Amino acid sequence: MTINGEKEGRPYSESYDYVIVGSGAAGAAAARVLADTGASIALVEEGPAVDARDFDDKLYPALRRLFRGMGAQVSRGRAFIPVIQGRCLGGGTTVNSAIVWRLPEDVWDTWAQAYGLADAIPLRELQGHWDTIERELSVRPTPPEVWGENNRLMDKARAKLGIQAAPTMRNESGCRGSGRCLTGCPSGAKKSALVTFIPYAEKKGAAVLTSAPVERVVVKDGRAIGVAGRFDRPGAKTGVAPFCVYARKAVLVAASAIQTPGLLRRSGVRSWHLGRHFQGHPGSPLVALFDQKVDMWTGATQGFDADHHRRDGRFKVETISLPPEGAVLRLPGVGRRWAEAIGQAPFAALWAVQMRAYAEGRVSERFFGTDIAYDLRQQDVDILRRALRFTAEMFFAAGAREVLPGIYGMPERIGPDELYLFDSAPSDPASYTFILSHLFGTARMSRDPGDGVVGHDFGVHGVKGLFVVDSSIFPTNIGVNPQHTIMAVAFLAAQRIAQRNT
Amino acid sequence: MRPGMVERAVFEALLPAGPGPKSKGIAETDFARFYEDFFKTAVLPMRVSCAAAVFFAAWVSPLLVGRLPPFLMLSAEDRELALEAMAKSPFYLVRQLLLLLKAMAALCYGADPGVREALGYVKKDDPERKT
Repeated sequence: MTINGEKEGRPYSESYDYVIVGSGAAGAAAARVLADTGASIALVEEGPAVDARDFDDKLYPALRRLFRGMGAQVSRGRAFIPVIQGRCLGGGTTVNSAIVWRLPEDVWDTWAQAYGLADAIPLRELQGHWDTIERELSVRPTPPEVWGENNRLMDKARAKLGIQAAPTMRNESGCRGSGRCLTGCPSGAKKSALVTFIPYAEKKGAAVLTSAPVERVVVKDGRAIGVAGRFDRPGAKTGVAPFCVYARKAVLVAASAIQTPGLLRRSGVRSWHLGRHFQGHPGSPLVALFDQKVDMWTGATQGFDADHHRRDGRFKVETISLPPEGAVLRLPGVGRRWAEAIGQAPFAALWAVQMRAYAEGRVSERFFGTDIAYDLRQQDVDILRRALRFTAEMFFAAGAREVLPGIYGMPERIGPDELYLFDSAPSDPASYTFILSHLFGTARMSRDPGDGVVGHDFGVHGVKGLFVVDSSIFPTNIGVNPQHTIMAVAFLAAQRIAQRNT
Repeated sequence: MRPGMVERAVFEALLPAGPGPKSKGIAETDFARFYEDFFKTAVLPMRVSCAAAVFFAAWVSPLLVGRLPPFLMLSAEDRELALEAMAKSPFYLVRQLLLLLKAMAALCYGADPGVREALGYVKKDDPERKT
């Protein structure tokens, strides 16, 4: 049953065993697990429900309909970094590239040893959940027939340089290489939560509320008893209907590392750690021009990645295909020079560096909305310089004619003999282009309430029946694409919460 | 809000006809409709930022190349130089304003069917698309 807030004119009030806030990787995975217990569930999503048949290949309508703040939500620091989040049913899984990585064991070791999470998030249990998720979401390496030239070139670089790189593991079945993951998969081949966990839970009786932003968790006598908000009807200035969804057993918050701390704060949760320790994986793109056509918009959006320096360099390199609008924007110049460069777009390949940055920021609520303070450290810029040089080396190994760094203070185009220029690239983050799309840590887990927001049972310290099951609880960033880890942790959390309530 | 003469001049200098895909500039796309739709539907911070970027380009960027505003009074070469000066400005905020203008232009230009065809973009996977 779906309650579409865009069309709902009357107040809504209903009771369920569990209320889950957020329908992305974490919320949908929790719903998938709880649906099997026979409990009644309400999955409450802030964004709209968008049918796969409505996914367009044009970027602006997709930004408007599927992304938070049209993709223009930015962090505040020396550089403004767009913080990209899906805001639709299925959350980030609807608009990501379906990349699947298990949490690296060295990262889990840090969680276990430095943060004492060995028993709270046991690796063995995660492995069992990963097996299940990989089976249910048809996870496999990107097949060569949908690589397209952008991905094929990285394979060429891998072979030439002998580096550790491979076809990306993705949750998809029947991908046709349309290069449209980021604007929503039109064929349903991407096994996002939108076409897997959410319909599964619905079949088992779950209610799905969409365009239903939760304003607060209702807490009575120290116990969470539901959530309240107002439906989001576009253009409506008055008469927007309120909703209140009561939880007989528990409220699970899976609203993301940006929204979860604000929701908890508005609900009366107080902790020095709430909103702090915000971490991410800043991504920075690099474009190269080849003599042959690349047509980056053809083939799997992200079908190849190199984790050669994941441990010793804290970065990974990924292919990424952008629709023509994105490709046009990434080309240098203004006026006639830009127009000429656009003519070269079919010959351009785009790869991006994904850093496991040291920087920690803070998410807070201000008068004008959510404020994300995040500034890269000097160590992060050092990582970036090395990562960009390595990526450029890969490009040249694949046969690139020139690389377009897009870095203020560097030449617009560099050749294979000028790689050394990256070593002295600017130290100011404002000279680079970034996006931030993997977000962690703003309600971190700790046994002691003095060290974090959420206990080892996933319950918010000091509030009964209120749990956080998303990447807010992660004590650190993880250096790989997080969807798979987020889902497995949500599976683990939902199982534990269900066991407590039987 | 339809683009006036000043707005059109800024964007036409940013992405002129001639060198681009099959000689098409932004003026040859449905820019007026895109611009109107953008300022009707974009989120408020985006609208405000883009309006500021257009204002800066129209009234301040000429000063960066030693010319007096408004932008409309500049020759085609000087208009391009003024925008280039924004792109190369030592001030991060000025560069960001130029980036916003480029983003708006790219969203319109890259979505144009003629431009897409010229780039060799083939739309795939819409067998069941609703009309």
